[in-house]
Amino acid sequence: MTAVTSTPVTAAPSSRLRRWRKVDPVLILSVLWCALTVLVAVAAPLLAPYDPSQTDILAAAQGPSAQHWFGTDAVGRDIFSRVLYGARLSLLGPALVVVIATTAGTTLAIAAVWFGGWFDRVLTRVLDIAFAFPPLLLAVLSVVLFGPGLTAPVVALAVAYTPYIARVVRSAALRERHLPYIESCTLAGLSGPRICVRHILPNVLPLVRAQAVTSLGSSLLDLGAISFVGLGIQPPNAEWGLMVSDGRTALLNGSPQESLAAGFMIIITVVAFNMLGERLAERAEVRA
Amino acid sequence: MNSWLNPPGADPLVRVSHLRLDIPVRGEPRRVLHDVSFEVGAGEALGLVGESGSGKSMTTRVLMRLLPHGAATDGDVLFDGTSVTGMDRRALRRYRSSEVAMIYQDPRAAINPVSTVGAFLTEALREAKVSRKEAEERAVALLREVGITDAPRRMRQYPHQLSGGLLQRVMIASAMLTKPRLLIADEPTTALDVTTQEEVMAILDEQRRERGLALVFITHDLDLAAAVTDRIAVMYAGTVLETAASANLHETALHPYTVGLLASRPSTVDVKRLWAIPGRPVSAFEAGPGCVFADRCPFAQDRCGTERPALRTVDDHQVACHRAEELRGRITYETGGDADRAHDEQTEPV
Amino acid sequence: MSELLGLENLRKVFPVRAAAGEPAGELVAVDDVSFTLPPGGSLAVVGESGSGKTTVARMVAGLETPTSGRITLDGEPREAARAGRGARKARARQIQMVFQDPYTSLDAKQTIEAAIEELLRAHFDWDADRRRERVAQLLAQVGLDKRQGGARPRALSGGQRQRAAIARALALEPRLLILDEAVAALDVSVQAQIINLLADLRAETGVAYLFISHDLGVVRQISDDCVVMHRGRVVEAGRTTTVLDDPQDPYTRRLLSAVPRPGWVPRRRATSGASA
Repeated sequence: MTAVTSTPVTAAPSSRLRRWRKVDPVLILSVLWCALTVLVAVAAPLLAPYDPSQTDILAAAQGPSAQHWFGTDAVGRDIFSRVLYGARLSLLGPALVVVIATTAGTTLAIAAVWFGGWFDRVLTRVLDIAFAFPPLLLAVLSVVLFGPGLTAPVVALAVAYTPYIARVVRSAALRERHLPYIESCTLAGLSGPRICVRHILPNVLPLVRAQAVTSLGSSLLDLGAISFVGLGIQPPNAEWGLMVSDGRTALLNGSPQESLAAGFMIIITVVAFNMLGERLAERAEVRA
Repeated sequence: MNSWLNPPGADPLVRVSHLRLDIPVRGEPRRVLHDVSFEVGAGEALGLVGESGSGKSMTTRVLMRLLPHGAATDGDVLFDGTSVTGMDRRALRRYRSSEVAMIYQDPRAAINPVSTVGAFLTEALREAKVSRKEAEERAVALLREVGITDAPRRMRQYPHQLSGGLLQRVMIASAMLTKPRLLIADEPTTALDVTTQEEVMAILDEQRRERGLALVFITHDLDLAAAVTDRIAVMYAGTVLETAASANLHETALHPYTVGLLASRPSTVDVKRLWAIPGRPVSAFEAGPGCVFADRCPFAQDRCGTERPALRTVDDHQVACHRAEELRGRITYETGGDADRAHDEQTEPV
Repeated sequence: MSELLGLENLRKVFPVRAAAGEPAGELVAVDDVSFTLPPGGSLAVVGESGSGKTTVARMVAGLETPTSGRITLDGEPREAARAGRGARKARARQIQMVFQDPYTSLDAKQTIEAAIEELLRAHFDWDADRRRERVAQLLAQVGLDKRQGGARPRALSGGQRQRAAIARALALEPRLLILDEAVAALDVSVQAQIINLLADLRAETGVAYLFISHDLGVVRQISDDCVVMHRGRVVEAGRTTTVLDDPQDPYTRRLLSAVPRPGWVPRRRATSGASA
């Protein structure tokens, strides 16, 4: 009956617990879309009808047709193929950002909680300061210093995202840290690193996962913006942010396919990651 | 209608008969109450006693008609002859605001943390068009009655500035303000220390008696219930297993569960090996087709596992046990022989 | 006579941060507490909330550092809270603790067997078979079956979780087990089982109990000696039977008279409105 009494007993039609029981179409669509994008990125060579960098001046700037589903760009490259291939670089960047930021953020957060005291105070202060920097600004700065490409913006965004992740994980880890099960591990003589890795980490992992997925979405958007302004991935590579930018001239000439297709991919993918992240966060909270 | 539910004389204030309740869990209806029947006369106090999962709190939810969406009830819940489950919106609102009052285990969850005690107490009266001055006077008078001496100062304080015991007394005062006929108290002292519990229970009991209020008192503590109620209904797995007068329940308990519950409570006056009911308390939905207590009952027979006993009158009790007559006075839970170990002489005084 | 645990003039002061309308200050949680516990003995520290009983337990366990005073084990001063690896492990084999809330005292991600095995692996140089054997023995000792041992805490009832927590605490064969309100959160019928289990385990293993409780009935069943605490101080101490049958201190008397029992009637005290 614990399960029953813990549901808010009111006349209100739905509670969070109840909502979870129902099939959640938003969640299913998000998962499907994310899986599809990853699949496309992996299998682009098998799926794409054309070589994404093969130019054909004779077939330049065409509208959609049976040969070219999304039409061709200003130098006659197949836009559909470029969108498929574009998934690779467009996802690789965010994936790297998230892997670095999540690892760093989680490690710092758990260490801060475990050691506490001045270490925690200093780290929290540093994270607060880092928090104040807009990620995009940091990325632009990094490109100015290290030159355009994938590496500079990715490293900068990873640094900028670390405090976001560290903050969320720190508060969750702090809650776990003072629960009796962690205290009883201390009393059992287990070592600090072991308690952190084997006990605190698994218990905050659902939240880390949620935060990572949400960050995938926002870093995809940020990296897209950096490419759009020409500071990220360089032509002739296929990348969505870059494609939106490349299609600008055609857009003004009345053929918006390239910008539209790439922009659409960015928006839908970002939304899907955000939705998925939000649902995972809800689920992590319900469990806690 | 069963005859035992209709004692001669006036209709009872509350009559619950054969109440069944299903609540959706993961979209599936789950049985929470199997068969709950009891009555509370005007001015009478009834204790609903049970362990976790017994359905005692859910029963009060039905009484207040505070049920989750999709809950399905069966059976009768009558207040002064009117069906609570059948009330329309207006009747329900009147019933909740002026006929019944409720006191919860956690007073902090039942009071707005950003309004003062005074604002909380006078809100309902102000709504009923009582002047501010009069409302405040009445609130202060009530606070004094529940033993809060510096009432004017307390009126200006916020809930977080009051201790749990004091806040629970404010809740009692608030329950008395609307002059209800029935008071439902759901484990009102479980979160309090024993000395505070005694105070709060004494005040609750005194207020109730002075005003002739009927009381439904939910608790897991049989001794506490016995002290402040006229009758006790023992619940287990969504079922009332026994109802008896509080005064002599200790001596005359008939149901093996009631006897077991009494035997498993550690006493402050003597040391004995406790008789522990085997297993754990089950919830209503886990119970088999027979007696809900059958799988933990040392006296269960084949019949107990297949046929659910109905509540019936044996002596002065209502009891739901096939073997009630047969076992009457014979249920003695033998205690183990190793209790003396607690006295062994290897320790020295502190 | 020998002494396992000794507390001498133990004191703990917590700094209190300034709150609305209240200046910063100090809270004396434990004030001049002394008692001793013999090997295999059972001593209860009794009190209501705010009495300081849990702080005493946490200091003995090493989860809090005393402001002043001494804690000795076998007459030796107990090491500082953040001791080195060796000392930490040595202490783990001396003192273990069982907490009140069975829902948060076990790692939700670990099966009961894994939680016990983890301790054995950290402390003993045993092979897998020997560890498995010991886990099975511990589970049997607390009355859990194989299936329950392989389950995660979520799948177990409150009583079963508390059995698991006790099994884990006994895995290292400590000489002192601190039980911090260890049966308070349980249903009456399950509480009786755990009380009996604790009595049996003490007889079987010779472990000593430091039993923290607010429940005088439970204290009577489980302890030889008791210490009654009120607002950080010891107000009465002695054999449990003596203290409960013939209480000398007014606070102990009040505590006893407030316990519901057959024939009991709650009574109001005159001074009721004064306390905050």
